[in-house]
Amino acid sequence: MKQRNNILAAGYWGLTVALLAAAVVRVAYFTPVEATMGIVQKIFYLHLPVAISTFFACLISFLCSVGYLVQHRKWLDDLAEASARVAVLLCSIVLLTGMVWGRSAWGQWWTWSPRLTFSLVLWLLYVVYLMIRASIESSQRRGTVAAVYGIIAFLDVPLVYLSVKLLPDIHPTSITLEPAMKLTLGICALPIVMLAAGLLVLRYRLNSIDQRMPTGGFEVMQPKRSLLAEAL
Amino acid sequence: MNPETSVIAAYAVSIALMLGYAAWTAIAVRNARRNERSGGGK
Repeated sequence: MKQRNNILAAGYWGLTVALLAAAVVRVAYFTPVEATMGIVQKIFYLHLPVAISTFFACLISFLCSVGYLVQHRKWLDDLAEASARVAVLLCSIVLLTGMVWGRSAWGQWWTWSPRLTFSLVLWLLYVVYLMIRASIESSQRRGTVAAVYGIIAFLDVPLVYLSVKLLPDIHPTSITLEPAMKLTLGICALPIVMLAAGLLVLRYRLNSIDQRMPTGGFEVMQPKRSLLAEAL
Repeated sequence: MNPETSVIAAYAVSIALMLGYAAWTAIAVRNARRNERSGGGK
C-alpha cells in the first residue's frame, strides 16, 4: 500500500514537471508575442495561474479555519497551516513576477496601486499568520488563535480581486487574448495548479507526521547545565 | 536588464522556488517518517 502511494506520488510529480516543461516550451517558442507590451507579456502565463492558485490556497486555509473553530479537528488546523504556507510561497511569486512585469511595462518595479498594495498586504497577513503559529506553544490555543486570524486574513482576498473593478488601478480590468494565447494560458495553468496542489498535500503530510511525533516533530531542547550550576 | 532576460529570470526563479520548496518538503517528510519509525527520537 505504502509502495503504491510512493509510485503514485512519483508519477504525479513526474507528470507535473513534464507538463511544466512543456508549458515553458509552449510559452517560449509557440506563443505569439503581444503587439503592445512585447515579450514581457509572456510573464502573464505564469503570473495569472500562480495568482489564482494563491487565492485557492487562501480559500482552503479560510475554510479549514472555519471548520476548525466549529469541529476542533486537528487535521483541519494542519491543512489550514499547510495552505497558508503554500499561499505565502505563491504570493511571493505573484509579487516577484508582477514587479518584473511592472519594471518592463510601466518603467518601475513597484507602484502603490490598489491591487499591488492589497497583494502585498495579503502576503504580509499570511507571513504574520505563520509567525503567530510559531509563537504559540499550546497546540489547542495555537489552533484557535490561528483559525480566528486565518478567517480575518482571508478578507483581503476579495479586496485584491475587486480592487481593479472598484478603484482606479494600473492593472487592466479585463484582458482579451488571441486563441493561441488562451491555449497557452490553459497549458500553463494546469501544471501550476498541479504543483500548488502537490505542495499543499506534501506540507499537510509533513504537518500530520509532526503531530504524531511525541515531540511534535522537533527535537526536545534539553536545558544545558551552566558551569555555575555544575560547580555548585 | 532587457525584457527577454527579465522574462527568463522570472520563469527560472519562480519555477525554482516552487520545485525547490517541493523537494525540501519531500525530504522533510521522508526524514520525519524515518524518525517516526525509529521511535520519535534522534
